[in-house]
Amino acid sequence: MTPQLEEYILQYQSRFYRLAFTYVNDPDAAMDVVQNAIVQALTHIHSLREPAYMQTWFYRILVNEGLGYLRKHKRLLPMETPPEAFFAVGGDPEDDIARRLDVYRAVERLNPKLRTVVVLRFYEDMQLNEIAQITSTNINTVKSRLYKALEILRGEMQEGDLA
Amino acid sequence: MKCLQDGKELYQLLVLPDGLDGAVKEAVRHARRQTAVPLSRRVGWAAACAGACLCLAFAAALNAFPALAKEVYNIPVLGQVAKVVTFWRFEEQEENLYIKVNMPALQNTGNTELENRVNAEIARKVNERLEHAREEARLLYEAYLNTGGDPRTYIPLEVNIRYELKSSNGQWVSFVVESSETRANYYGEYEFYNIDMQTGKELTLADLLGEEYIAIVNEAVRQGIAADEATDPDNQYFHDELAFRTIQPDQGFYINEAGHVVVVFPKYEIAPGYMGIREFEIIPGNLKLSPTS
Repeated sequence: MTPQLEEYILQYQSRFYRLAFTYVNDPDAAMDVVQNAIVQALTHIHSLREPAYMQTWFYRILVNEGLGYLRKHKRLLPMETPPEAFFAVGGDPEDDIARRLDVYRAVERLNPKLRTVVVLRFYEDMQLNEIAQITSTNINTVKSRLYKALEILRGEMQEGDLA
Repeated sequence: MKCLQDGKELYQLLVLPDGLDGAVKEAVRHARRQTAVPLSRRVGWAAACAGACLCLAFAAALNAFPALAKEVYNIPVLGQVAKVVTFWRFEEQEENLYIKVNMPALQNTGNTELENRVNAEIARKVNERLEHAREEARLLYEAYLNTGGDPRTYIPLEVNIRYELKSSNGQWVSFVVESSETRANYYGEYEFYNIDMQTGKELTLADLLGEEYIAIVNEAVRQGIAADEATDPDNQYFHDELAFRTIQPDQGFYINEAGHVVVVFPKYEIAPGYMGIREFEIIPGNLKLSPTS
């Protein structure tokens, strides 16, 4: 299993980084989270019994790392939400960065559990059952977290054009 | 979800740092090193423990630590240290915690009082660490079950306490104890032991480098940082308000085989996390101790 996992990790590292970033909002910290997840996954690959679950299994470790990092290093993390400079947006004024940034930041302000569900569902396009596996919860918990998160987001985005 | 589509677009535009690929590969390498020590150790130790009953009430046993060490793992480390440092170890799989301990013990130093004191101190710290790990393991497991987690796929918390002998001879013994918990994060905590074998006291930087030790070490660290950054642009240290200014009163250090002081900075202290632990050797001139060989 190790070679497959290594290959998977190398191939999708940028996705892992983006997900990690949603927890820590800091490049170095996000890399740390990714590194920690990789080391943990590769050194615990023996505990993965069903190869078909490798991806959700890895995401679960990554999400745990993100949440754990957030807990342990909260005071070291300077920003609640990331500045524009962290994104590869051009200087084109037509580019509606402000609006997109508003949404991204609103998601970032959700508590970590709600945020995890939103990010996995809408940014990573995952299925609810996959999210349940990744977050070690059941599908009803995922649904209720999702509804709650959307409700909060609707409140934040006054325009109400969320749904 | 029009609106969240906006968020997603930005998510995908997140700038990836140059160091990402390197950091990922480094983690893969690190994992390979970790797993190079075969995991069959678990089985091996279960067998080894059976006779010695080490696992039985080991917390209590640890309190009577010197006896335990002599009785069970009187295995000398190879080389010049054989006479002074022995080690003891055990592994144990509990319901939601996997414990691995590998620790040094002093013996045959000719100073029983010193041996007892150091060994008891080590045992106390190990015990403290394990108690903390048990509590954390329990909380993690409860949280996992409470959120509908499947006990069959649970990854137990792993606590690993081990030591690395840096140098040892008739004059001193220097070793580092690392304890790490693997699950929420892979981070180690370090404690440094530098013991003067003549007096039994812990050696300080002042003992080794003289009264000017702060200035000496600070200069060596600053030069070390500059040299590191000059050799590789990927080597980055903090340069803003987090930048290295001076060593702390409890600055960690060990003495290497050459008899040089090596100061150690934990991950995040003076450089971004991906730089890991940073070490700087103080090349002598002012050293008051030299190895006896």
